[in-house]
Amino acid sequence: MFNPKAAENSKRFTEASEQTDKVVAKYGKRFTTVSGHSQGGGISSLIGQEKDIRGFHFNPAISAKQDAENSKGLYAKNIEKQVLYKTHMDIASPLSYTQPIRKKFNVNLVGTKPGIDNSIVKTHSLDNFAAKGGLNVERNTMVSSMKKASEQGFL
Amino acid sequence: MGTYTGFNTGRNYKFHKTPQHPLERIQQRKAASINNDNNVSAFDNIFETHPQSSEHYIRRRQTSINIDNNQNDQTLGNAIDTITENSESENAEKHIHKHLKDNILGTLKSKAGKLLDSTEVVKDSFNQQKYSRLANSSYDYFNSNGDADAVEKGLSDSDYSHLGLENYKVDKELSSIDNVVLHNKISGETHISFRGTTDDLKKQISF
Repeated sequence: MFNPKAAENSKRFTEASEQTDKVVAKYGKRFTTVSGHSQGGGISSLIGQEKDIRGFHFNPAISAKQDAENSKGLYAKNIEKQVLYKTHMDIASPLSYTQPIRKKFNVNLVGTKPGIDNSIVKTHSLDNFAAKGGLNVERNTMVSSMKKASEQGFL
Repeated sequence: MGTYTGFNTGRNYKFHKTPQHPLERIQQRKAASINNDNNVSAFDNIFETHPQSSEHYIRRRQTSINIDNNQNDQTLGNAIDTITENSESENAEKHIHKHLKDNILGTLKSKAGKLLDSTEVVKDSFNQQKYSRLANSSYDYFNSNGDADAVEKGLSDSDYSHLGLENYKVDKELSSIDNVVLHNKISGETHISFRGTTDDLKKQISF
């Protein structure tokens, strides 16, 4: 399901990069933002860093190459903020919490929501990050998020 | 016989007028205990002998702490009292250990279980909720086979009206089936949402 292979080598990334250039050409970069979830988060985080566009990435499948590039300080001169949101125990975004990534991204750990918490797959869901009706949300604590994700198995 | 208090109230206590070093006091008491013909220890000078026997110096306090919420269970203190009073001395320790084990394990299971399942009400950041909904647009676009109305309907969902996303419109010219471009004419914001694989394995076949 999750494809952690380097997003920068994929056809999808090439298309996304070209598409972003067209968007910037039409609307400018100042008020443009990018986002993505899972593999899309891997792409959005890389596009955001490569093109220095403000980005919001949810359980992103960060590649080992991107982690290494951040370790080498490749994006050290970037200005735009990259914000990363990750649920506890999410299996698709293990490299979202490495030291080089935490140094360049604003990493936020988010508790899962009751009802979307009883498997590893649901823990990965984008639905964990938004809530109906307002910003005040009932969430599992860190311990509870981890326990529920691990005790129910894969599905 | 008067009420048993545990203290030897009939004894004449001798109080030192000047401060005395604790060690000195202990040594004096020890000497008094050794020299006493009636074999009365320093302990006896302070504490009254229990009416049943001299072995009952300490009146055991009954704990009010409910180790287990199960009301049918005895409190741990009562259980230990019962065991020590009714069991052979050599078996008492074994029984106490068993009760301790049962009670502690029971407590851990009931209390820790609740802790492990606990939830809390937190205030999400506005950006977290806003951009997660925008990130979701690429899934909506893909699942509706490129239907811009479906995406805009999702963004206008009244359940998420607190995020103010109703003015985002799909730029069909720049969007692809995998990535959707949204533009808000009023705020001037532009957003590109990159689709992931899926968080629903049932949909995996269609991807």
